[in-house]
Amino acid sequence: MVGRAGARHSFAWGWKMDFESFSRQLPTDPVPWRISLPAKAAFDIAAVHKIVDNFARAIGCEKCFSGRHCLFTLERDFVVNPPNFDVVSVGHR
Amino acid sequence: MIRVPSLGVGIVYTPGLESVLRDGTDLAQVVEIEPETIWIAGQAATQHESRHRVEPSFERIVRDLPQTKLIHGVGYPVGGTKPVADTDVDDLQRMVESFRAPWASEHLSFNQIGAHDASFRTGFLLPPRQTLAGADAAIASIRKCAARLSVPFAIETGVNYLTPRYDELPDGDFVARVAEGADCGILLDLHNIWANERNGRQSVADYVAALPPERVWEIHLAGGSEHRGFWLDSHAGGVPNELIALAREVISGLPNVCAIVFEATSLDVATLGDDALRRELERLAELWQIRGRATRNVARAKPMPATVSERTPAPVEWEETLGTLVLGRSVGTALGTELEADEGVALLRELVAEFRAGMAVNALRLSSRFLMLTLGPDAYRDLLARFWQTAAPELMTATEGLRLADFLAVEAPALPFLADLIAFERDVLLTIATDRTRIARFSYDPVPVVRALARGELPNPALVARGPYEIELLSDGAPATGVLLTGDDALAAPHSALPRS
Repeated sequence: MVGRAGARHSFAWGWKMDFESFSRQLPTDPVPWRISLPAKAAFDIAAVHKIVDNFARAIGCEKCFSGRHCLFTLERDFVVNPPNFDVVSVGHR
Repeated sequence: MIRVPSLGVGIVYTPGLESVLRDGTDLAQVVEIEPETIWIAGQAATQHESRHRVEPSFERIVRDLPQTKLIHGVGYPVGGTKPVADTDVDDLQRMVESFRAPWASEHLSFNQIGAHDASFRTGFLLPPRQTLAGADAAIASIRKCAARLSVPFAIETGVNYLTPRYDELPDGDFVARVAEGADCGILLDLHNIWANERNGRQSVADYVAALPPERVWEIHLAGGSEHRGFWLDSHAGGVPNELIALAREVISGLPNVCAIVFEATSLDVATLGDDALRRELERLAELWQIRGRATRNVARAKPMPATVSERTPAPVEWEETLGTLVLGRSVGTALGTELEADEGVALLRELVAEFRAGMAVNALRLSSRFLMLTLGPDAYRDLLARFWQTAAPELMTATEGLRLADFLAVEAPALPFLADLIAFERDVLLTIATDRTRIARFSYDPVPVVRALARGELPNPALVARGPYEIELLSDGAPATGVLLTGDDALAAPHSALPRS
C-alpha cells in the first residue's frame, strides 16, 4: 500500500489544479436546486461498495469486542486502491 | 439461588443474520441484543446522552425473530467506582421489556472516569481494580443497577491485556467475590479468559475453579487473532478448536448454564457466510448437550486471603490513571509510571485510537474519504490525532461524529467542497438524532461530488457545476418538498433532469 502513495499524491495535485478553474466559475443560477432524501439513506449514501457496506454502519455504540477496529483500514485501502480492494487482505485485526 | 430459564444456544445479533435466525429455533434458540449498538442518541447534539430510542424498523425485525432475546449491555459497565446513571439503567429496562428478555447482563469493567461534572469516557472497556475495595465498588454499582431492573442480572468476565500485579486478587477470585457480594449471575466469556491466559494471566482452569459454579448462567464463545504478541478478543472468525476443547471441560462442570452464545462482528458475519455460521451454532449445540454432566467432579478452589488487596492504589486512582493513559496522555504518579511501562497499556492505546478512527470514518464517511484522498491517509490520521487530544471519546458514534465535524470545520485545511461536505454529514447525523427534517445547503452541485466519493474517488471539478443546491434530509415519514430520491437513486439519477424546488 505504501508504494501507491506517490501515485495518489500526483492525482491529488492534478485535481487541485483542476479546482482552480472550478473556483473561477461564477454561480449561474440564484434559485437553488433541491433534492429530498431520507436522512437514513443519506447516512448510507457512501456505502455503494458492497464489501465495505457489509461492515454495517451504525451511529450507536460500537459492538462488544476488544480487538482492533478495522474500519479505518478498510476505508484507507478502499480509497487508495478501489479497483483491487479486497476485504480479505485486511485480516490483521 | 436466582433461577433463570434454560434457553439453549444462540448468537449476538447483527444485521445480516436474519437469514440464519429466521430458519427457526432448531439451530438457534437465543439471540442476544447489544442495545447500545442500535440506539439512536436522542440528544446527541447536547452534552448528555441519557435518552435513546431504537430504530423502529430494526425493533420490528428483531422482535419478529422466533428466538428468545437476551439483553447484553456494552456501554454502561458495572465494574468501576462510578455507578451507572438511573436514566441509563432505565433505558436498559425498556429494552428488557420491549424484547421480553428473561435476564440482562453487563461487563465487569469500567469506561468512564472523572468527577461528575467533568467525567469522560475512556473509549474502551477497561479492567477494574482487583482488590477488596475494587470489589466493594463493583458490588455497589451492580446492586444499584440490578435494583432498577425487573429481571435477573449477570456480569460478564472481561478481557485484561495488562500484566498481572502483585497487589491484586487473582482474576477468578475477584469475579467470585463480586458475584457473591452482589448476588448476581456470571456471564462467563470463555474467549476473554482464554485470551487472558494466553497473554500471561491466570489459567482458565484456575479462573473457573474459583467461581461459584451455580452462578454461571451464560457462556460466550468467539474467535480471536494475534497482534503484537497478544491474543486479542477480536471476535474474528469461528471459535478456535483449542477453545472448543477447553469449553467442553468447563461447560460439563457447570450445573446451571442456561445459554451459550457465539459472538461475531458484523464483518465476520458477512465474510463467514450463512453455512459457516450454522456450523458454529452446531458446535455450540454439542457443548449444550454436555453442560453440567461432570459437576460432581468439580471442587471449588479456596478463595485467596482477603488481606492481599488492602494496598494502594485505591480503585479511583486506578481508574483515573489507566483511563487517562489509554487516551495517550501521561500521568505523573508512581502508578502512572508503572502502568506506562506495561506493554498492555501500549496495546490499549493503539486499540482506543483504532476504535476512534473507525468511528470517524463511520460517522463522517464522505468527509473522511475526501480528506484521505486529498491529504493522504497518514495526514488524515494526524488530523484525527489532534482532535483526540482536544476531545475524549464519546460512547455513541453519532456524538463522536458531531464533535469531529465541529473540529474539522475549524481545523481542517481550506479545501474545495470540504466545508459543505462536513456540514452535510453533520446535518445527516443531527436529522437522525433529532428526527427533524433539515436542509443541507451547497455552493455546488453535490450529486457528482457524493457519487465520486461513494466510489472512493475524488470528484472531477470539471463535472461539478457551481450554484446554490440543497439536499432536504427527511426525518422518518416526513413529506418531501424536492424530488424524492432513495440512496441508490441519489447516486444513479441524472440530476440535471431534476426540477427546481
